[in-house]
Amino acid sequence: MSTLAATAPTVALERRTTSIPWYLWCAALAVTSAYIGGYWDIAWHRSIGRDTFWTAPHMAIYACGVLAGISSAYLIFNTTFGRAGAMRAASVRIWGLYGPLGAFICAWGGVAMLASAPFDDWWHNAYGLDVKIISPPHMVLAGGFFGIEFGTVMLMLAFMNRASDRTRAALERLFLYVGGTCLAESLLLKLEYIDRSDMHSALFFIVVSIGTPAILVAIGVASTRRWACTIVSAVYMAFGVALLWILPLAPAEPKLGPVYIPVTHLIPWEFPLLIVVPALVVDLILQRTDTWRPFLRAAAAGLAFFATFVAVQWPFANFLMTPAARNRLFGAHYMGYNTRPGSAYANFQFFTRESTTAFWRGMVIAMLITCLMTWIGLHAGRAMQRIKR
Amino acid sequence: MLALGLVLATARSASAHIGSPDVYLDGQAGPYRLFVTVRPPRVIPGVADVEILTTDAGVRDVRIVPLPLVGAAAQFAPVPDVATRSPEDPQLFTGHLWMMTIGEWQVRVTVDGDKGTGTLSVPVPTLPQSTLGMNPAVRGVLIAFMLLLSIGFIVIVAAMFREARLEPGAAPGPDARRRGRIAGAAAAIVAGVTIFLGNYWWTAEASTYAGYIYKPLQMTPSIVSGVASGSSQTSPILHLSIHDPGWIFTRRVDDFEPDHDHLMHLFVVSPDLDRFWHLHPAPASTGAFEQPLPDLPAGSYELFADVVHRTGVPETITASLDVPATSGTPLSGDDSAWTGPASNGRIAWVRDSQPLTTKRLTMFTFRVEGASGQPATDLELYMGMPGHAIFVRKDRRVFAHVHPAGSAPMASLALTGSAPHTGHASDPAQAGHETHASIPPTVTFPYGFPEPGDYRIFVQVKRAGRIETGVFDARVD
Repeated sequence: MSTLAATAPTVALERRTTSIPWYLWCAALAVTSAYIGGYWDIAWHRSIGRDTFWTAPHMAIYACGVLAGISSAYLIFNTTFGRAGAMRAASVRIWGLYGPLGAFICAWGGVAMLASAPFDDWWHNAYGLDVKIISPPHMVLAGGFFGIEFGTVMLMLAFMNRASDRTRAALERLFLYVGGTCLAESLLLKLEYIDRSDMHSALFFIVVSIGTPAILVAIGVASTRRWACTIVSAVYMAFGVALLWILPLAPAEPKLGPVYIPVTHLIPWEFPLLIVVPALVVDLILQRTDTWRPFLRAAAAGLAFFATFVAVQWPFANFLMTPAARNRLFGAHYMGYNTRPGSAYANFQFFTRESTTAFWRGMVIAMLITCLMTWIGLHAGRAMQRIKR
Repeated sequence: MLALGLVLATARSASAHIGSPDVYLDGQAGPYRLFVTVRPPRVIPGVADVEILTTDAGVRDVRIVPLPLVGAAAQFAPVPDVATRSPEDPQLFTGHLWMMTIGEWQVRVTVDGDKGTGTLSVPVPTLPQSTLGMNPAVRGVLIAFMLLLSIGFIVIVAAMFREARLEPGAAPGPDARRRGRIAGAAAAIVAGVTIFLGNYWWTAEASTYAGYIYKPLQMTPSIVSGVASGSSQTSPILHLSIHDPGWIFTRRVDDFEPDHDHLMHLFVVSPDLDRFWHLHPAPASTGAFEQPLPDLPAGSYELFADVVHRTGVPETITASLDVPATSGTPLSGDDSAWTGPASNGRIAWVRDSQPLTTKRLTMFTFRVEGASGQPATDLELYMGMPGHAIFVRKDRRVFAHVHPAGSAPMASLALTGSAPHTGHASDPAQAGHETHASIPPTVTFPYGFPEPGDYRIFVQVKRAGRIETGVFDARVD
């Protein structure tokens, strides 16, 4: 590796990074808009049903692409064609253009979101309106979201890892906030498999284990803050309860049939998962195992995460099935207009679709996935600590 | 029972009516007479187009809402849409409604005007008919996006491993460049695997949807020897065995409801449409019907059997039948036949000089005349209605059994609780309860041809206990 003689640009860069630049705020606002828009859209489909391209939740979702596009376009064009030598020195080169790596990833995410629009439109015309989240065009859109989320994380990391201590502290706070929206977005995508009637199935724990520990641990290790995982999951929790409490204040009526349950206001999603408790335990373990080999560290943190999550979520699911949870605080009584009255969900029952053997096999798989995801998170976090551009 | 002679029978695909999915209804919404056209979507969930034509200039506001015809969700309607008044015709209103599930739905039309408020419900079967192919422009755009995203993914990953960890100002050395190339190659594999798995998933989703595409019931006809009801001698019996080729699990073959007096209306036509029978087989066992065969010349015949499920979903089941010359049982009850111009009744088609076009609500009016051309005064209700019309395209790929109330089956209509217009009653309270003394000599059928072509229209009325059939040809551009 050779080093360019670039003392002056480095000094200039240091001076520039004494405060959080506007494009980082813009990128953070983009991922916030995507999460709120996505959650709002789900509430829209649980209460109103019919939508158009121009609904408010859709605008919030697409604002993510616009805001991320503005920040990444500014960074790439300013670095490539502007006079910001320091910026270019801290950039990567792709197709003759210069810019922070995160800006290119955000731009990629924006293109993916753009591509999903004609794909989704054709899909609706070919197979009918898809009334589920997990469909190929929606996954292209989700790929766009996660591109922007990941790009924003990389953008923050590059600035954070180059910043002075004082600025780094501010950037870390923003970084953990963005990590919280990443966690929230990833769980939003899984809603079809993690409702309260699923919470006593192995499938629920498998679905939650895919991604969640990796995001938490990677962000936690990359930030080097003592309670990073707890803060990230607290951000998810705060968003979840805020939207649970705020959205029902808006009046709404179904504009699609079949209507099985009359609805008069927006129906939010459920009370957020209690990820914050295992995240706290993971923080404690990570603080005390810094010298351990990654494999052992991942096994310890992964097992602790899984055991704690089962220990808190399982009884909490029992609670959500009781009349005590059917209030504005816990929101267990909120049901979409198309919830079938005879369904297990409508009757506050758990799904029983696994045999005992399948359940225990699934729980072992979920535990192993949790450990694997923790290991991936540890390595990703260490790699993220070294991101400079 | 003993199988008779050589009988070649095949079944072919059909739908509710055949090739004629649009629903036309002439009905009363309280004091307002409405002509409603509903064009169901070809994919479900999808958007139905709705047109409402009112005869009353005092209508201020028309609202439309979709809801299932039966079941728990039939009691809770979503927020209705306000239909848009046409700028060209102030008595025409249009709207678009999402039909979300497979089965039988209803479009509830609520009219508000000078005479108060009235409601009419139109039964609409929602049966997915096809999937949409991808046109070359969309395919080109999506392939371009796929290539851009794939290549972009590869170069970004390569740049990440080549440069992202370098200190500002440092240039990538040989190791970094090699790391970038390896990462780029790995990213290319990931992109390829993602595209492969995505294609696999897409194919699986398309296959799942294909399973929802409507597959009509199938029918196997055979001719057996048996003793017809009311007779002591053996005679040929048409045995119809209905089976489900596999569609949605809620469909059954033992839940048919009587539709204007009969569980099944069977139409037998010759390939040239120069012979026509309207029969009413009786249930023999689960999924099986039997009908004493009338006299039949040798030849090939097409069978169209109309049935209505308890859910309100109508189906027209088709089959082909090759028979030798058959000496059968004389027609009785509501059974009727037309075997050529010599047996034509005195029925005239009252029409203007406008050419017939497709997908446009048209009122087909027929006048029944006496021997000297004067209006008939001896009409009776035929299975509860002044008349029945069967529209068949010459290639038999379009078939519709229509009544004065329209193309919706009466059994489905009964589930809505709406009052159909019976083609002549001015007072909705009289609908369906007329005596022959009140039946005027004209009968009108609201219908729209789905496709261009040459059609034959069979019109049947009952006069003084005798069923008469008028046959008319129509060219549709």
